[in-house]
Amino acid sequence: MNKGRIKVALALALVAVLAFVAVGARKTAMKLAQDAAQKVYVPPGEYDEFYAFLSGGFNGQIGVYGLPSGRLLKIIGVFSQNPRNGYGYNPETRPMLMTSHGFIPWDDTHHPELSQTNGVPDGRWLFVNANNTPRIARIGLKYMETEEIIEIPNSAGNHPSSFITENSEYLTAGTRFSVPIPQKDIPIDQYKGNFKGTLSFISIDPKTGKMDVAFQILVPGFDYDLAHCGKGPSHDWCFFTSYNTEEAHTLLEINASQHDKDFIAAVNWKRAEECVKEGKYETWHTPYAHNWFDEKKHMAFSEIKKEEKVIKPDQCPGVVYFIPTPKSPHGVDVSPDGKYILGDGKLSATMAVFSFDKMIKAIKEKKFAGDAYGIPILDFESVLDHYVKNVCLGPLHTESDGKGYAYTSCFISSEVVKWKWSTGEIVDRIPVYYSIGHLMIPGGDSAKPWGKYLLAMNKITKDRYLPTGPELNQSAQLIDITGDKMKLLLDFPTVGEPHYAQALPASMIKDKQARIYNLKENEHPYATKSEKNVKVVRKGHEVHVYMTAIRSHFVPDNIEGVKVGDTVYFHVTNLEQDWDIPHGFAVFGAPTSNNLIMPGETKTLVWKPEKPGVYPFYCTDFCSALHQEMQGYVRVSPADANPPMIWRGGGREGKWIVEQ
Amino acid sequence: MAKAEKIPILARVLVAVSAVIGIAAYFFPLWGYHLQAPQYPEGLDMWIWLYKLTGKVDIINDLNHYVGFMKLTESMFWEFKVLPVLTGILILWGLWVALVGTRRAFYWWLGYYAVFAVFSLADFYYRLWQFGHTVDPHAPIRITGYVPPMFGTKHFMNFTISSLPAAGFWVLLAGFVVAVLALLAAWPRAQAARAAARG
Repeated sequence: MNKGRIKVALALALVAVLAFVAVGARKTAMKLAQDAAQKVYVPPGEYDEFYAFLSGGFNGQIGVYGLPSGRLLKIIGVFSQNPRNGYGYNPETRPMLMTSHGFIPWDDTHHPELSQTNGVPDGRWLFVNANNTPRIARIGLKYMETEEIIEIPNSAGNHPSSFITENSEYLTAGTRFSVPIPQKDIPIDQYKGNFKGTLSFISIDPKTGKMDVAFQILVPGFDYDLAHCGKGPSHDWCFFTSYNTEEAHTLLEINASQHDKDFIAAVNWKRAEECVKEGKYETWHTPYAHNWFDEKKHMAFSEIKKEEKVIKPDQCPGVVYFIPTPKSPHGVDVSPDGKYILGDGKLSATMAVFSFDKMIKAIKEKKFAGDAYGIPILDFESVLDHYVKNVCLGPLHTESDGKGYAYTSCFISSEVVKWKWSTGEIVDRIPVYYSIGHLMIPGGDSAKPWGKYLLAMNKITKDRYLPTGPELNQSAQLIDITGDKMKLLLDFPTVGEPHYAQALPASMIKDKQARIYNLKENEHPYATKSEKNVKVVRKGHEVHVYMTAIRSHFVPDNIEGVKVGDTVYFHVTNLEQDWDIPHGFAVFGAPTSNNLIMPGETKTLVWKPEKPGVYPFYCTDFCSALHQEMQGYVRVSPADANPPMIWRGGGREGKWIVEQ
Repeated sequence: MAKAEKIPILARVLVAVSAVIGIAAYFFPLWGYHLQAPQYPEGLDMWIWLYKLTGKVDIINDLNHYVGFMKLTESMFWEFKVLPVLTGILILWGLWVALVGTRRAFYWWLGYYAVFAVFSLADFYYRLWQFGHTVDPHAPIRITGYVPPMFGTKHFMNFTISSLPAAGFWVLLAGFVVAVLALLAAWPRAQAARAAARG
């Protein structure tokens, strides 16, 4: 055999081997994709394993998703008007969006938190904070609607919120944008020493869920960023990260990134309770709104409260300590057993894991490294347990799987890093697409995580989906964390900008979901519970239409007698008692949203007609085969006219009732 | 047949059992309807009792208005007032028959039971026929001559409608069967044979 032949034979053999390898690799890739697809596939008609509640950031809402499918199940209007169903537009729900600054139809939702019992989500309520005009909302998990909103006085930029204590005693709130507290008109360059923050504790009534501002701790003017409360041994404590300990007031990007360490504020809320009991607080009178929805009356109420208990740390020693923490930390996370506290220092590649026991010991032994505005700064080395070295670039937030591992999101290096709580040993990494902010494991910030999936919530989407102009939805990735190696399962877009999420097994709340509002229990003052009781009442320039909706007609559906200058209130009650038969209501020319009215519910549309004419109204929800016929007319006459005041509908005719 | 001729103890006991069984008819529905449609995978059930309607009656009424069927309400059926009384008479009369044990009383009671059963079923069928033939002429969707099933399954528009007797009916039927057994026990020839056997 000559050399040429050998070369050809070798080349052929190489090609064969390469082809074999390539086919094998392709097969392996397809097999992996099939495995992933099987793990997230929820067959038609079947249900997801988890409910996930993702904040919507700048949309002011909460998105309810099913996991593992990533299907969007519902959008809940919280701090923003929701034209879909009239939330924040109709008089029933407008009071929910009242603040001490008046009616505000928008905010920025950040950190949802489920109520907990013994450190585990219990499926009663979901809370979420508003960052812009400081507020916390409570969402009931039976109706999945916003039931209460409380404003946080003496604060600005409510970012380290709404994190919960182990038995839902308190929710945290805090000041990200320090301001003069109480507010006053001073030059901004007098920031240092004059601007302050508060760390607030919002109590939750264990029966009704009603929230109240229990006490506020006045703290130096840093930027308080995130929080988490202790568990087990650390039950009495909550931890808040801070950045801008430089107290910069301009170009914070540079000026607030000078210190190598910022602080975690460790707050002993039991100690704060003692100080309140002993009268070691000041009573301040900054007004704040408290709004709640009465589900029997189908109506929200708003009150302005004007009293808060403010604790000054020098008057209540032991209430707060500062733990120095590597550079500009974002998240502060507590291990499921409550023994470790982690500051995710976003400008440091090394994270410090603190020991709760060492912290208590350092406090006892007064191992302080000075103080900040009178608040003791603990000696870093005395509190440090171990480092997580070279974890990644831009660590932001960490959750746990309940099997001893922690998962940290890394914004700059765009990855999730898995490491061991007890040693800081890094065991796995997985890339995410792109620039992850928060991550979420169902129950991952609780004492007992359901460590099956991890959801990465990313800030940059770019090329992940079909492009939709310059504005793109955010992206999320679902990762399987049951094995030694993390596995990417699914990629799906999310509405708004989720800043954090919570999830719990669907079985905990699925069967207690309300299907209708019971018509018999409807105590709305303008409810009409039977077509027999419909009426139109004039009170001066107010016209109240007591209207019913049932497939497929309104009663009344002809209204004559309205004049320019009147304010017309259409109080529409949906008489249906069958699951998923809502009716909608909208009036031509009315400068407001439609109302989507659930079975047994009453909602009001308010309209001030400005021009004479005949205006149609109709059902906006395709309710039945005769939905298109579900329409009516209201006649508007000139202000000085004297039209007959009559109505028709349901085969009947009636005269208005005129009250003086 | 002598006026005061008695039926055997066995027959009297069976009559008493038959009457007592009848009490259960107050505690269980007589007839059940099950409606299924694409939009109602879980189905809609309606139960007819001696004296009431239960189940998803309101939802069925809401759906029926499209085709102009009459609205089902308890007050439109005189049967709901009369049937409990007729059943009560059946039970008390049966207990009295068991007590006095005369052949004449037994035959009258048995006749009443038979007439009661035939009349009730016939009335039920008439009501179904009437339901199907009394439709609002102005209904959005016009239909003619549909009668809901009494036994079994029928299809109507998007619904599959199944109708079957329920526990209350089976209880009354069992009562009737026991009454027939009583008749066999009291049959003059059988009684004569037993008397002969005793010698």
